[in-house]
Amino acid sequence: MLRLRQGLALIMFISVGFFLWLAQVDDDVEGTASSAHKGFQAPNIQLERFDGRSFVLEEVFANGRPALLYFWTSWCPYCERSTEHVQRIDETYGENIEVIGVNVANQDVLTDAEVFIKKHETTFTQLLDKEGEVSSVYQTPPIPLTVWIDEQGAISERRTGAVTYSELEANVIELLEKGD
Amino acid sequence: MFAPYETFNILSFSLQSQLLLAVVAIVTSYAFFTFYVKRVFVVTDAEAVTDHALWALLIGAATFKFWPFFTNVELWPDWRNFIYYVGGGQALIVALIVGAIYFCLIVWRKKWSVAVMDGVGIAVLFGMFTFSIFVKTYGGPTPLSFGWELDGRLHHPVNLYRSWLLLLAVGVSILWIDKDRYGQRALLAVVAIVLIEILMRPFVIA
Repeated sequence: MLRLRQGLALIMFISVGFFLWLAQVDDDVEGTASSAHKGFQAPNIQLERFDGRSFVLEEVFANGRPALLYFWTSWCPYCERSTEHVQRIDETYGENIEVIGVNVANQDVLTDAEVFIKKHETTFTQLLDKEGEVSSVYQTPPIPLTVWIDEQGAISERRTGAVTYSELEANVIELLEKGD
Repeated sequence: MFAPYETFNILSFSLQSQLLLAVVAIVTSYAFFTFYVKRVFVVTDAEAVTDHALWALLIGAATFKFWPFFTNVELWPDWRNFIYYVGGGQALIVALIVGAIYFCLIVWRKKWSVAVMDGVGIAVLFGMFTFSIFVKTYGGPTPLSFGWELDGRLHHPVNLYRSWLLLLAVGVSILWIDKDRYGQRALLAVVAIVLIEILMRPFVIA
């Protein structure tokens, strides 16, 4: 038993020492990789809007603006609930943040998606992910997926499922304050 | 090992691995706690202890589910919102606090042995270990030759670091601390969790 305890103590000291050493040799912990995980650079998006014009996400950050990405489909009841809140965010904070809707079009019907946009009277940018490639990179489904991205292009938060206005707003305010 | 946003499709439901494995970790934790109070340290009234532990979990789960309704009164009028909204924001932290307060109050009211809290301490460490070992956490870029690959570069496997340290904490708790020294295992669990998070800080992103 005593040997077991001593062995464990030795392993513990070596382990703690290793992590302290590793922290010293490795001060480059910036999340420069592109990934859909929190803290990393948001993967770029190059898609067509519903009106046919092209859209590039990197241009938003080049202009020093943070972004709110919102992946949705017309048949999703959670999206039905959340979209009005996203629209309210665009109405309130749209001057300071780029609100972007991405229709996961390979799992939707174009005419249904258009009806959905009209029904919710959305005014923010709406993109068509026809092949579902962008959705796949951002790891959806499940939908809806909301991603908050700072003006440097780093993902500050992501949330799957229906979102409330207060949750959207709290994260948007945090982004805007960070940018000031 | 699963990426946190990897999805499992069960019929028409899509479940993310981190949610599914959080449930697995909680169940494992509860099973470990039950074993501890019934077999390792035979607590008087062990049946009631495990029942109230289960109630604490259920109260925590209910708090998590209904948290959006505490913070958004406008959701109340439409009953369908109760189906669609869950968690978000600080829901997880609040749920943990509410469940813990309920259980501590019961322990205090029923004057149960502090050994019960020792069981909770080890069970929590064990549950966190279960979650960490299964769900990948990507840290910053690593200079080592092993890690999780992202965008062509290796990153610190923070969940593996964490699970190793949690396993050591469980070992220390069982091998170093005599079970008759009430409260010390619970205290060690708290200290271990804080220290592990401090040690992991340089590697964690965001």
